[in-house]
Amino acid sequence: MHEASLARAIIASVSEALDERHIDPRRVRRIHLAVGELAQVDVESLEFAFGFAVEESSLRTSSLVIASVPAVLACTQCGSRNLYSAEFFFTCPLCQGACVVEAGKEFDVVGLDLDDAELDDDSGHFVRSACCAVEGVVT
Amino acid sequence: MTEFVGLERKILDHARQDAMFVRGTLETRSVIMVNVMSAPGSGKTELLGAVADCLRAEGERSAVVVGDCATEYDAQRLLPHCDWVRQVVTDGVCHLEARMLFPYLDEIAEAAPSYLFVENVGNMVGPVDFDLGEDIRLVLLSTTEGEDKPAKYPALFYAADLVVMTKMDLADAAGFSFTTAMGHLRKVNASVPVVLTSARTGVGIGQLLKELRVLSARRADVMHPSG
Repeated sequence: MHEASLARAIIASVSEALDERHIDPRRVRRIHLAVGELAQVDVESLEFAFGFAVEESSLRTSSLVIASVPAVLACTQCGSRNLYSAEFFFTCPLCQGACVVEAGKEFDVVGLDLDDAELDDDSGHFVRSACCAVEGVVT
Repeated sequence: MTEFVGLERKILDHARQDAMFVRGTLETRSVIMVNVMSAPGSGKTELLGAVADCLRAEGERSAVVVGDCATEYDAQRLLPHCDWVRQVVTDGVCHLEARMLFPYLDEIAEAAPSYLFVENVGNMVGPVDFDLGEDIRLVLLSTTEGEDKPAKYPALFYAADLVVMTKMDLADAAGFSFTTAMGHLRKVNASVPVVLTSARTGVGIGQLLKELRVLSARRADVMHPSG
């Protein structure tokens, strides 16, 4: 199951981005991913693997939100653009020419939902800011 | 309340950078790296042994890194045929990654092979997403595994620079139809060269080497355009 490796790569990539921006990883609630139709990622397996991998990381309060990106192919002969289908695979449905993948191989982090709370330096715990004082609002 | 922070990060960027490092290192040593991918049992090890014999007969050296979830059986099989062999045991991981090659780059440079073959873990999904720094992606389809494999695993066959149909000596016994297999393959990859081989009888091994040399030369042209 290569999703275990992919889950670890997500954690590494997000951790690096947070580091660069000096953001506390414990503020991350949701990690938004764009996953192409041809990226060969099984979403269910990835979420399962992420659940385990994240437990051992500083991102343990986060979960994944996965948006699927449809595969778009461009024909190298007639120039038409078509959606990928298992009927034609990587050949053009109009002229049977060879196609190149324009979209659909994405495996990207597109953004993060951060908890709107500040870290209490003394206790190391979060102090909820006024706008999200109600327990359970932040999921 | 949450705050959204937009990021544009390719998650496998690190793997790509690792692959670029491997590619750069091998390129300066004039080593052509071939990433060999297929289902388990399609004949990767047997084929590489035959190719290495053929290279040796022509006075060239070969090196192999072979990946498996467990055991060093394949490395032991390849040892008599190749000038340098290392087994990477992945402990369950179903693909190799470029960084797994880092510890061996110096040794490979010292062994000075013309070709470094990386026999990936037998799997038709995981290895496709991980660039190892290879120059050529070689994908096997054996006559015993069914003609429709390219349709079942399109991403792998789409990524191939060269497809080798193996175990041709068993084609009749397995009821393998070359025409049907090519029909499936051409929908997935319209132009990839195809070589028919039997590592047991030696059929097609010379032709395979010829195709590898054509691809290596094309690769060198891309890296060092002459005009």
